[in-house]
Amino acid sequence: MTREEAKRILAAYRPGHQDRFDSHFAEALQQAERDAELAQWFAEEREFDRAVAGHVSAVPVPFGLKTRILANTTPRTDARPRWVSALATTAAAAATLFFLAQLISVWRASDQHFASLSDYEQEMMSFIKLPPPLEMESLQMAPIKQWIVERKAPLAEIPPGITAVETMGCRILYFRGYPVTLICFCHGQTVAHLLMVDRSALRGLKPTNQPVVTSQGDWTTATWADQHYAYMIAVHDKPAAARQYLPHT
Amino acid sequence: MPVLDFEQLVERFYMPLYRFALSLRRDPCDAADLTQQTFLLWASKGHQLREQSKVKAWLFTSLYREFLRGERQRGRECGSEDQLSDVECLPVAANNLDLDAVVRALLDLEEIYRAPLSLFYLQEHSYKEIAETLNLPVGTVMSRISRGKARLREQLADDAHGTVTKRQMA
Repeated sequence: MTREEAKRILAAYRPGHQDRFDSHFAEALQQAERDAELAQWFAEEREFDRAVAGHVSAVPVPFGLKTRILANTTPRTDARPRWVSALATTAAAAATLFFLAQLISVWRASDQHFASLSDYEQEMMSFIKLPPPLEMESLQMAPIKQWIVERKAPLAEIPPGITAVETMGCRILYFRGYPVTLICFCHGQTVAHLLMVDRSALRGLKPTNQPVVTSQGDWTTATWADQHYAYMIAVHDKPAAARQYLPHT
Repeated sequence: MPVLDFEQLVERFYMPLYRFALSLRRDPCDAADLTQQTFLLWASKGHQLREQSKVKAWLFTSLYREFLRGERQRGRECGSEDQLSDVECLPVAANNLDLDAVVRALLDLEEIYRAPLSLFYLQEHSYKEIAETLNLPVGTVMSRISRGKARLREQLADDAHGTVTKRQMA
């Protein structure tokens, strides 16, 4: 094996230690032990690979991508005899209910597990920026409301500014196990979003009549809460454009 | 490999899949869509896979095939080595690399090098698995990794010396 052939093979040796038992590399590795120049090249190559691999594994992944994947994908399960499925389903449901009850009792005992408004805003924004497909589409608010009620998802009084514009549809998202109602409506040539979630999902969020308006890059969000629900409006526009949809302006 | 439920599967693979998708599509939104599409495929067809040990290969291969399908629909074809000249291996100090420069240089590579090199640096795949995923002979994968690295060093050296790359000019 020439030095160049050995280099070509060793170039595919991963920067970690996963390949040390792969026989394909054995001869080239042995040659590197005998050939000082090749050994020097291999050491530098591995150092370079470790640095690049470290950077590649640090490439940020969009916040909320996992939530989006899980929300939009329902896996098909394997076909099994009906009695096996029924038995498994019953057992799983019983076990799940038991553990869920335990989990909820522990979880609710300490509010440190509850997310902040900021967490909620960030997660919802990341979801909205990768536009989620709507589960129900309608140009009118009434059928949208009916769809939401049927699914027992959060639904409060819609601010008048939103009822006045054309709707697009809605879907249900989840935040830390709480259902979040998302209603999409037309804002000029773009889509605006109203989100409603049970106020208890957000730690320390007090009812307030005064929406908090925040700019996030090209987006504007407005959040407020009443006794039961936390609301968030997200518009791909300036703060002034978002204010027309707020309840108290 | 233990049997993973769907959520565990997503948790385990969505980040490397996204990073691989980003290296192929070079756009975060497109990469997110491609990742999502891969899991949608899994949701509809994954139950047909009998060997749990092949889940990873299935996901990465499906993502790559989806990418190729999309490229064909856009009328783009992947290049071949014949169109490319050899490059010299330039010295680059590993400890001076920064994330942006590495990602930019990787994304600037031609697709034939980008795909195997991304899988290589994700460290999830051996050269044999890369060959399976990309449907290439093992020897070709080794050559592309080797030449891809040389090109990556060249890009990084250019970047370090302020040379404007083809992609930045485009």
